[in-house]
Amino acid sequence: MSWRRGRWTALAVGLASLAAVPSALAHPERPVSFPPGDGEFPKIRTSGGPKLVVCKADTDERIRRLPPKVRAENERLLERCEYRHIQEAVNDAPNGARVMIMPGVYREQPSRKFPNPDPACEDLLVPWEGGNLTDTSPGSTRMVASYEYQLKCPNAQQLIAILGDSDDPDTRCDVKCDLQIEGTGATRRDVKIIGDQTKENVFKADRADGIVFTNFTVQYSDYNNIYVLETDGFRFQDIRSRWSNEYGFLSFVSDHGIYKDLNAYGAGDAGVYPGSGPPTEGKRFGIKIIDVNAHDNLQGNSGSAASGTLYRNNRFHDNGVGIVVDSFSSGHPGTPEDNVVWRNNDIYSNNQDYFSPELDDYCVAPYPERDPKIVCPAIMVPVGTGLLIAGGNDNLIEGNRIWDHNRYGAMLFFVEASFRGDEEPEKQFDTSHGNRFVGNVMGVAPGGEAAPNGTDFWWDEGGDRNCWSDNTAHQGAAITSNPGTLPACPGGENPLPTNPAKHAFLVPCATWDPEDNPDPVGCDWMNLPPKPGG
Amino acid sequence: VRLDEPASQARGLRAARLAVGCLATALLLGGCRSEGAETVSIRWAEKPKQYAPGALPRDRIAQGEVVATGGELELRAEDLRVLDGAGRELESSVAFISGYAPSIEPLNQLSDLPEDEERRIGRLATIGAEPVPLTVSWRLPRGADPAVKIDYGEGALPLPAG
Repeated sequence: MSWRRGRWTALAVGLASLAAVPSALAHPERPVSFPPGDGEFPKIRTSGGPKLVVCKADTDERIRRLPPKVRAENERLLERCEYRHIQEAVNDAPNGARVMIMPGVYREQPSRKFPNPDPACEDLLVPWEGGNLTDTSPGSTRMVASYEYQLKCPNAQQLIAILGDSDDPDTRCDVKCDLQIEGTGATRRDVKIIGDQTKENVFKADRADGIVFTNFTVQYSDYNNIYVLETDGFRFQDIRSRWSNEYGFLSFVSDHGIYKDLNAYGAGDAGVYPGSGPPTEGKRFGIKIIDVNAHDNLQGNSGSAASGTLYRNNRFHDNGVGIVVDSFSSGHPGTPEDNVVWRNNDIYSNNQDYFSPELDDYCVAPYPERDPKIVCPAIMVPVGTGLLIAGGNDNLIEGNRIWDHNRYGAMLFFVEASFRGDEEPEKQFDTSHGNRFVGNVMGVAPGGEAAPNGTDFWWDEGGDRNCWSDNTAHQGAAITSNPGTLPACPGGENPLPTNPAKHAFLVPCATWDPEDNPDPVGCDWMNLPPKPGG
Repeated sequence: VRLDEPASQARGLRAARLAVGCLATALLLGGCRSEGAETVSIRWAEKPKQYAPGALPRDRIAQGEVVATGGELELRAEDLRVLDGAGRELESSVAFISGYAPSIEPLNQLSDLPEDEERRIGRLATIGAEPVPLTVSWRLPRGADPAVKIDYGEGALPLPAG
């Protein structure tokens, strides 16, 4: 029996009234809906707002090492310090407050004492939205925490809960709105917030419109280091996130969000995850990802239904795969994914192999027993690939530099609607249309030397209006692709059938399971191809 | 594919699981045999297509749709076995899907998947009169006979030569 199964079983034995065995928070989430979208992108405030200051016993010693100007500011702040734990300050924060975290290491010990799951809240579990909503008998579907669960047991799943919606039926932020959670050190290294490897999140901002996180380091969550849900207006800026079992930064069913100047590494799923972006239909960007450095994760970026998102000036490198967006997840509002723009990004050297036999053996241990600095993969990915669009529509990939991938520079295939829980026959082929790859530089390192991709573009040959134009390779060489010829933009209006052989080759990779099937027969994704030209 | 259990033990577990599946079906539908005492069997709705991935020269993939006659049969993908002409089991992977559908749940969390998720990603299926997709991949040992059938406990599906 696994540790996690054992934990749940023990809880079930102890709770005679437990009707359904709940799960840890997984991708499955409670029923959620997009905020109305009338919010704004929040900015970092350097003045104003009630200040609640958090410090540790050794903060005075730490601030002596800061540069003079920052040290002077911190010395003044230290006189106002009233809290030893971030959650305590959040609990006292009115709307518009700034929670100022002084240099130190924060483990949030009071929050760690709450059990996860919390028996006091087991009657507030609900079936996850993507599953069977009517049959909640044990084992039939996942049971997940409702918002009411979070209100009653805020520190069961996270060390620091920022819950913006009071106990009323409107599902909108009315308390804990426009908070700013900021480190006061000279750099993001001066404040460290450390998870316990058992709670899903270090921070969770839930219906907390206008939330800003900035200037600290966060690590060691069992799921997300920072999670924002059902929130209109959020900003992650100048933060280092490292070593999370699944995600560094994750937003879901939220709008007006900014990921900026982040360093994200060590995630078992993805460094950044702008999932279920707002359905803006290409009229505006709901989520912006700028100046992010995502590296040494299984995936630099993952985003189921990452619609309406702009990626600009980022670096995705040295991951298993650089960027993935997809439409194969059920219970993710906004699918199929559409209208994402990638512009002026560096996507390179995503050849990290997290599927070695040694890791296969090591990673079957439960996360709390593992070294959190070792990345254990959450999903099978085509190792050695820069960008993968699995079931996306009307995306624009323009002016990026994509180099040094042993497998593919970019990969595009369709996903049946049934996998996202939509069984309508006319929708089964509604993905992988209108994707444009324009003006990208393929296989050229920044110094101008050749750094080829195994194949620049791989396509399953299906859909309509998919097109490739003005992409260039090293010193005028030809772009490499499979199929050998790609349609130029604007592409054909008539839908093309998918190549059935290419589609069939994807299926065995879906049977990957780290415990039972770590090397699926018929799947070569976990086998990193040799370096092209090497 | 990792075989953590001795083959005989694994086969015993598979048989036990299949028996449980049949029992569940029996409770719901009146048995693995239909009312006319006809054994439930599955067959390809049409001849499956077979592919050979270029990067894996000893691997083969068969893809098609299956239907059941005589009732319904609930099958776990892990219970299906690909056999060569001499009846030897080959390494294989099976899914009741036709495209790439990974689990929505991170598999490094080590928790059991709920039934609805197992059905979505093709680990579990109820085969009846409506066609259900089936994708099977297997690896041929050097010098082995070609795969000829997929054993599902109650019977076997033939694999086309190729």
